[in-house]
Amino acid sequence: MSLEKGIIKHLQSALIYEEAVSFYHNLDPRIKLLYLVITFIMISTSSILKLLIILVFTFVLASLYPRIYRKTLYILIGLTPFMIFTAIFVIIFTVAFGGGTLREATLEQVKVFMRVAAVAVTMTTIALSTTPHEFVHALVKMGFRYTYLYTLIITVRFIPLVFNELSDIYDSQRSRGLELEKGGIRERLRKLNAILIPAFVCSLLRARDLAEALELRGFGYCSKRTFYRNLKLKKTDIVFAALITISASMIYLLVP
Amino acid sequence: MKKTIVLKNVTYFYPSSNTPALENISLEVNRGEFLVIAGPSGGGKSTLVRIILGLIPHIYGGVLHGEVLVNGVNVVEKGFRAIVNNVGVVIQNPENQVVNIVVEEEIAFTLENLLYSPEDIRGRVNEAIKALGIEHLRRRLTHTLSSGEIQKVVIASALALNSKILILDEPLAHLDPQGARELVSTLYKLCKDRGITVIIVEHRLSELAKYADRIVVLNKRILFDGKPTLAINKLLEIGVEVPPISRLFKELNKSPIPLHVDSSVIEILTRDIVNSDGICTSNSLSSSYDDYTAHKSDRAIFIEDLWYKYPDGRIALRGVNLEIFRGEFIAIIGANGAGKTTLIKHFNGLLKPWRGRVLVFGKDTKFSTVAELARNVGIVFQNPLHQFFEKTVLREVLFTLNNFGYKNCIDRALEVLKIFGLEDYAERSPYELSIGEQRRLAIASIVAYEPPIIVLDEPTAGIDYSLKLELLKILTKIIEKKKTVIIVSHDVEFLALAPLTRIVVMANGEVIASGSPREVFYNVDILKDSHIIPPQIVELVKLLGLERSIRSLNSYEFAEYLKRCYNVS
Repeated sequence: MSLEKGIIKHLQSALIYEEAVSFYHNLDPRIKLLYLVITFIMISTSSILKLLIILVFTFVLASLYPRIYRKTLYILIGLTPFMIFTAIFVIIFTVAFGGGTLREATLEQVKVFMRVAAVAVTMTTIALSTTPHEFVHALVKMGFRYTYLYTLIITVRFIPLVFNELSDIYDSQRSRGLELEKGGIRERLRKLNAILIPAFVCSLLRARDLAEALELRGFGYCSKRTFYRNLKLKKTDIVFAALITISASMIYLLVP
Repeated sequence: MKKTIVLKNVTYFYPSSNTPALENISLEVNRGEFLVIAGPSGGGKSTLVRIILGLIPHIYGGVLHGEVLVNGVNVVEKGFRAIVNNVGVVIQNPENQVVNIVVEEEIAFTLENLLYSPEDIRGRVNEAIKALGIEHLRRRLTHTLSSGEIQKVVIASALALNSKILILDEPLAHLDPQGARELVSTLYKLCKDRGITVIIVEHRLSELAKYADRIVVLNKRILFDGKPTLAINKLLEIGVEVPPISRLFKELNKSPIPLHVDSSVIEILTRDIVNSDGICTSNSLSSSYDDYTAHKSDRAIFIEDLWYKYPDGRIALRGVNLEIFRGEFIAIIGANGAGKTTLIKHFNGLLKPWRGRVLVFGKDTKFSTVAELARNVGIVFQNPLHQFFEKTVLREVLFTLNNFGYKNCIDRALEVLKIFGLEDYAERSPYELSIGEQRRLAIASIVAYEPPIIVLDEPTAGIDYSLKLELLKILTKIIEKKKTVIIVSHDVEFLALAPLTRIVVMANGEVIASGSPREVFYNVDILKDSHIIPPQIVELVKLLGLERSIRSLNSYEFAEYLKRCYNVS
């Protein structure tokens, strides 16, 4: 349990906004979204050389806020067991039933890993430096309705609370002698109720409080809303957008 | 004086209920007033708040008779949307009402919803942050804030909107004494400097009473509405917590009954003492409980150089050394975040030492499972709702008994429910019980399997005075069975009533003191280091200069001493 807990904690901390002053914290959220979209487009390539250059490119860009490296590592460590398991399974399946060679199958899995690493570093860059509120602001500017987007903010806001609550409930029931790891599958599933029912009840109470708070604070009264920050593209935003767009185009066109 | 809230003959029934939650309530609140609404748990305080906010009946449904006006707006007719600009609210669990990730965004949230211009919002946010003195929190993440900080952020959010009414539902329940004192004085300042109407629903009145312009005592109906000094009799009658100084004067049959320790109180008591013969000199109140060395025969828990580090690298415990003996009744006190709960989680192995060791009856917790250790150490955590999942109260108790290998033990479970006064609810759902009953059930389900050590984490949070006294009786019964009881709490007035053998004081992950309640509560340095405020009677005894003769902890002890030694009455 502590290993799973550790992995979840690490993944969680890697994808939560951090208070800091950095180049990315000052970057317009729309440009960050552009960066993410470009990364997704670029990793769709099947050229391993292109993937390698994209990987290097995204990691070099991360040097503007070095904490990204550590947090990306958390994500990769968290995903590694899952990725290794999948890779072994796919390689065996491809070689045994798909008619592919071991080399081809392994190479494909290396590419998958490179894609995941490139997305991980970009996602971490954005998640660490952008509050969900800034995301919502950027997306509202692009024409999305804020009431739907706020689900994202609420989810991010309540994830740590729900995790803490689950942990408290688990501790509370273990103190009453609950041993989830003992007994047959049916008995274990029944025992799981001791965690799930209190968690469900507490979440319902939390949801009631939140719904009341949203109503009392004017959420959804108007179809539009204002934002206290001014979202205006600065010179650095334009330079960064140009840099990633031109670099991506060059990688796409020039690298075989 | 202009009325800001008016309730006329309000009666309310929750959906599917035949008995009214509130009956014939008529109440007027003046602009700029500091109003405290007190009353027992289940007396309808939170319901009243929901009615004023317009959540009842518009969200909760049910049947409401009467009229509710907030700043002249009929809330029953027009709904809560009509008063969004006027009222700010801090609910019982304020972390549930915070929507955003960053403090600044949270304060701006309502203004953004109501289409204020960005320039206007920034100005208002800056001003609210300044008024609350929370500039250092501006960019902080909301999930990293303490309870007190979250409350301030919610209040700042209301201030930014220029709300002239602030309603707080049990704001002191989860605050340590220092935090509670700070919050109340902030609210008082906002009330007097800015003319904001402050309405606080609370049953912990020790800190509040001296600031209140008016107290309303509510138990389904309004039992009292008037000056705080006149409310004391009614509060004492219905079992609501009153400041110990008020209780002392009541015990001594003196009037007028004060609400806090001030120069006139000192003058009255000093005069009585000087005029009497002063026949006692020694501290004749020292009870056998004070001598905790008497229990030093059989060691229950031994903690040696205990360090604990959280996965994020934060060090929560720093070299804790502690011995707890069989039959002791111990309180672990300290400000929020001092490491109290982290420490007790080591007793049954929920947490394992990073460095050092914890032995429970000689067994190293590092090499034992939680289930094994829980046989000896039963921990009751703060929130009973984290435990309940069975269909009936009886099954909740049976669940714990079965986990510890007791079979066919319905009689035993029923017997425990009887001890805790819950036998009539055996076939009811745990969720149908009141807060006090749920708290008792949580303790009953642990006591049922008779672990030799019972630990309670903040057992008095959010419960009223009569329930605290009930809890005290239960704990005393457990002690009489030679069990070891450990309470984690910062409710010093409750601890002053409890027959504790010892108090362990924690600060910044360290045990900074351990001694009898009298030694600890009368030591200024220890309390200062741990950010704990002493019980009110302790402050009074010191101000009277009687500390060398008597070290009373609560009003009953001190009244008895004054009567016996100085014939004060």
